Amino acid sequence: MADKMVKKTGVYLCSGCDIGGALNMEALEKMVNSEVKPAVCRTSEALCLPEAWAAVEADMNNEGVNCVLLCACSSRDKTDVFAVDLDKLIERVPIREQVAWVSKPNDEDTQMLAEDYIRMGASKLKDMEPPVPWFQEDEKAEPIDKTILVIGGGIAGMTAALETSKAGYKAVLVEKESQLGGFANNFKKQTPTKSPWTDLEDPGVAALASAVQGDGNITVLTGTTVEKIKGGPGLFDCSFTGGKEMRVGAIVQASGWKPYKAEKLDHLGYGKSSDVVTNIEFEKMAKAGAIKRPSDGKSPDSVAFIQCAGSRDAERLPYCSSVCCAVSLKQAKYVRETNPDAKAYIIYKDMRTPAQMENFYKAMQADPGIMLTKGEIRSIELDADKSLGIEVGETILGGDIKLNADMVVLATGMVPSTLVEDDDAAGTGLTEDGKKAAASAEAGAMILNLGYRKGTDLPTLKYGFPDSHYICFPYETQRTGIFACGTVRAPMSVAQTVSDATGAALKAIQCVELTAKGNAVHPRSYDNAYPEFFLSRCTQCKRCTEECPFGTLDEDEKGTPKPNPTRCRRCGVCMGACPERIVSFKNYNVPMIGNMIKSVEVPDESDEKPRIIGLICENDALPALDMACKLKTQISPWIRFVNLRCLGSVNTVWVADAMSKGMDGILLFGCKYGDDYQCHFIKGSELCNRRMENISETLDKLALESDRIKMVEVAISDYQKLPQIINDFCAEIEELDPNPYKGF
Amino acid sequence: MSHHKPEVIKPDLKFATEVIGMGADDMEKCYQCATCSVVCPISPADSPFPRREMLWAQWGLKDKLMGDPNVFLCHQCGDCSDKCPRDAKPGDVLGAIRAFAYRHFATPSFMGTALSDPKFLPALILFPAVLLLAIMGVLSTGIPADIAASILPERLAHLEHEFQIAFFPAGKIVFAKMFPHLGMVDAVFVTLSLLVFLSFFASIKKFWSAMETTVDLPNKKSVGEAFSETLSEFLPHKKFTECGDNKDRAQPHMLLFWSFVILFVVTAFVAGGFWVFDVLIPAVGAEVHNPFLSPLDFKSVSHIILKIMAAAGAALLMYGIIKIIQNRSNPDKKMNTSYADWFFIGVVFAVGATGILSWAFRLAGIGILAYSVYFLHLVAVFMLLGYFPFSKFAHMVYRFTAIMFAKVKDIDVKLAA
Repeated sequence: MADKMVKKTGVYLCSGCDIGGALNMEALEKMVNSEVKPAVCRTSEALCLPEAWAAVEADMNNEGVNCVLLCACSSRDKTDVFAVDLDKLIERVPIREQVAWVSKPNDEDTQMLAEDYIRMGASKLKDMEPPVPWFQEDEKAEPIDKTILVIGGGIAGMTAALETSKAGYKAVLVEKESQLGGFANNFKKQTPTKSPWTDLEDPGVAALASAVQGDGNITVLTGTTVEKIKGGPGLFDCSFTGGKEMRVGAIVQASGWKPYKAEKLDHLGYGKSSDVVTNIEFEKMAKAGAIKRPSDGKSPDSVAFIQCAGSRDAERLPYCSSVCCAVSLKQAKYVRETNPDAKAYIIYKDMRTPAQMENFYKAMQADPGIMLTKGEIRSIELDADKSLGIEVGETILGGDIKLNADMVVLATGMVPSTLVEDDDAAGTGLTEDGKKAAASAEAGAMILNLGYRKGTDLPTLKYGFPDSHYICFPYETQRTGIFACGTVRAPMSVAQTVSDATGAALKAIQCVELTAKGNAVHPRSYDNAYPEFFLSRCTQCKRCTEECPFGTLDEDEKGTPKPNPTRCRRCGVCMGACPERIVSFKNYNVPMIGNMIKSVEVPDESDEKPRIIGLICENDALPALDMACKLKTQISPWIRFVNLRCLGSVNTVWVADAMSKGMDGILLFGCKYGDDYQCHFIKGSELCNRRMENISETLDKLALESDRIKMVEVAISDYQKLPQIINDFCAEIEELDPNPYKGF
Repeated sequence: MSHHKPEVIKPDLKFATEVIGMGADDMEKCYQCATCSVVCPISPADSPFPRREMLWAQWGLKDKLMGDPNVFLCHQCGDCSDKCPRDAKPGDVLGAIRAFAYRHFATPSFMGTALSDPKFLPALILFPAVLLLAIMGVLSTGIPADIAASILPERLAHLEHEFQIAFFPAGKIVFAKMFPHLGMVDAVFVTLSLLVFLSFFASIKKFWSAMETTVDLPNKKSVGEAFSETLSEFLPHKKFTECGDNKDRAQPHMLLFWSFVILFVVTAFVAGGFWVFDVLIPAVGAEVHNPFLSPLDFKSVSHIILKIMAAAGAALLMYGIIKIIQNRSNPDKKMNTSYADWFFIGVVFAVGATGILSWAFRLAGIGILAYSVYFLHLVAVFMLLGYFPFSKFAHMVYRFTAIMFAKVKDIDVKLAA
């Protein structure tokens, strides 16, 4: 470990953007000089101007300043201007957003607020060391590997391998079947993948397969599955059936989908008549040759397609598979091409042909023989004349109708290959999120066979998809360096699969490159610090291992955590979890935040100036606060915000620190949690909430009201509500008696 | 769950395809957003159209559409077609369904077929032409002058020397001279009118019972009451003038409608006058001066009034039909004009143009042109009248009936007073 940095601090105050109009800059400078005692302290009218920033850089270059305390705008603003070298430290004090813009100008409380923020920033700088990127100790012997392993040889996997190769990286493609192609091998035609998006296309599987096989950068292993994967990003050690072993840097899981089980669709006549088939069975029939009614081999005069067969049904498959509508339109075309007098009826809940597929819908709709209506299927029964009688309610044709068809095709949905099906829960996707994840990982979908303490496969969210954060971070799973793409990630069309696989290949490449630099992969991809465990004080309580949302930590026989730094996302959940406080980052640790809180000056009880600490997550809540400040909504001057990587990193000792210092309240701002969580680290805010439930004990010990601590869930779009939330809490705290610990 | 037994529907692909062929080219584009029903100024809120009609047409539900009064409540003002986000042109679709209905309900049915296919056009023109020529005697060897004289009313006998039964009679241009007996022309047209009436009677009966099947509602009003209400809306075109974007279509249509009324009155007086004053009264031995129009008399006030009405009617007709042709030819109007539409427009135009031209040639004294054009005029009038129940002209009767039916069932839109 490197020697401790010898710090020389420069404090730079900016009076621009109305800061000077709201604060007494001279008094601030005086306070800085007397309390922080920096080597340099300067005030500028606009620090972001080139000459002003050049002066700061001159201090760094000429005066040996290596710690910059920049008191100006929010740390999220002007990051291009205020950048320092990796061996120096910078801390931003937001006296513009959180002080000048939201407080009464030239007021005693406003001035105190600015002073406290400067004290907190100075304290933080004091407890910070320049991060040193992590490299494997024997890196010379075993360098970070940049090969991408792709699991699954369907359209997604083949595309991912090809895109990896095109970008100049090596790929290994593993397919369990004896030939490449995956599910698309069953297709007679595929829905359009290119402009004008109106024509059926021949499946592109064969061309894709030969491109893959002819690519020198791609090693193809067919008839092969994964036996074991150990290690982490850059260092995955894989062994396959057939005895092959290799090291890879990142993994793309493109293991595809399986059809929803039609056996659960007897209410739609499946099993009652052989003329009721699934869309998969119909596709295979079309591919094999002529479309014939199974019961008697007659060429059907009419075929009814039933959309959402089991899908968007709370009892069965609650979600929409997004492709079945286009697939039924495609198969309706087969019917029409086979017999120009035949009719294809499509009964839908909603016709869903997202994005460009709308053009395909229009093209198919133009055929008078393809007839569509919205409706709810009431029953499908075999009629006396051997045709199938379909009763449909709530149609837009007007009321309830009955129509007859020679065949019924059930448009069943897509289920991810990662879903673990058992007789009770199979396909319902209704089991509790947590249980489901555990079930999948422990029962094992048996695809990755990870040698992780936290399970052999990717944890899944509801419905069995191995997701992490669908909206913000596509392809990311809950295991760093393993990216899901194609239909295992979400139901999608061939066209979407191709772009999805390309995206995942790029993410995998990004992963190996960042890992090679010792940086975090995601989402703090600029971060080169990593958690350090002071293991001699570890009590083997396993909280860090259990709570890490990414399965970063393995453990030895005694239960001592074994860090795998390349798997880590630097959220600090382990740091918040550890009762012994042995986990720390160079630039983020328990004493640092504790000292920041303690650096706030707490006025005497008789001053009637409450002090409240706002612990705020920097992912969504802080940007929301920044936006609220830009709107210049007044915010109570009693609160001081401390930025956190994630609420999951909140260590309960900070509550004790704040309360014993005489703070009157603590307000925590985190992302939404639960089924539709928005936490960037999956479970951070949820874990924090759980810890806060236990904190009432601490408060009891201190003989304090539990109302003094509150956690709120904030979405980035809540910026307009945020000042109200803050001011309401501050008003509630004012109602309480002052914290009796003031002045201790 | 519904308590009703579901209605069994029988999609008819052939019907759907035929409707498309009759002008509903873009019918399949409809995706049921119902913008059309919302923007339609004369669609009743509790029984809106044409959203559902669009789907019925796509599904080929012929029976439902043939008995759907909404199809005829529509005046094809085109607001729906203008606002349709998919350019499915619901106005045209309803127009095509109406065209199908004229054919569907046509009595005799072969006339429906004849009017909907251009290949029968020559026959439709030739039939009246040959019939009229036959009456004129041109196809026969020619009627001897004495026989001609003998069948002339006695009062006209002094004109005998001018009556040369031939296509282009010599002397003063008098159209009556084309026929051995003026009464024969009337006989043809009166018979034709009777047939037209009978045909309509049979068709409308079928139409009404089809509507009773589709609209399963009790009567709320007497037929008489509905009739008078409908008439009071009909004459001033109250519904048509509700239209928004294509308001300029209502005015020419109304002028055309009134020109028909005026010309009908003129014709009735002239024909009636002839039979009363020139045939019946002389036949009983009396003699009363014909105040309207007679080859003998060009001087009476009522005669002059009739002449002015005829001229005004002709002018209105020409103005109206030319405006309609302009509107129909304007590509910005998002309106499809089918063969059946052009057929009817063409016939109306021909009636007006030949009428005015024959008059002009007569006044100019160019006999050969005057007589030829007048002959064409008669052919055109025959086509207008004789094909009335099967051509687009029938919309007048069907629409009137449908509005009446809607009023009986209380499903018609309530127009602001």
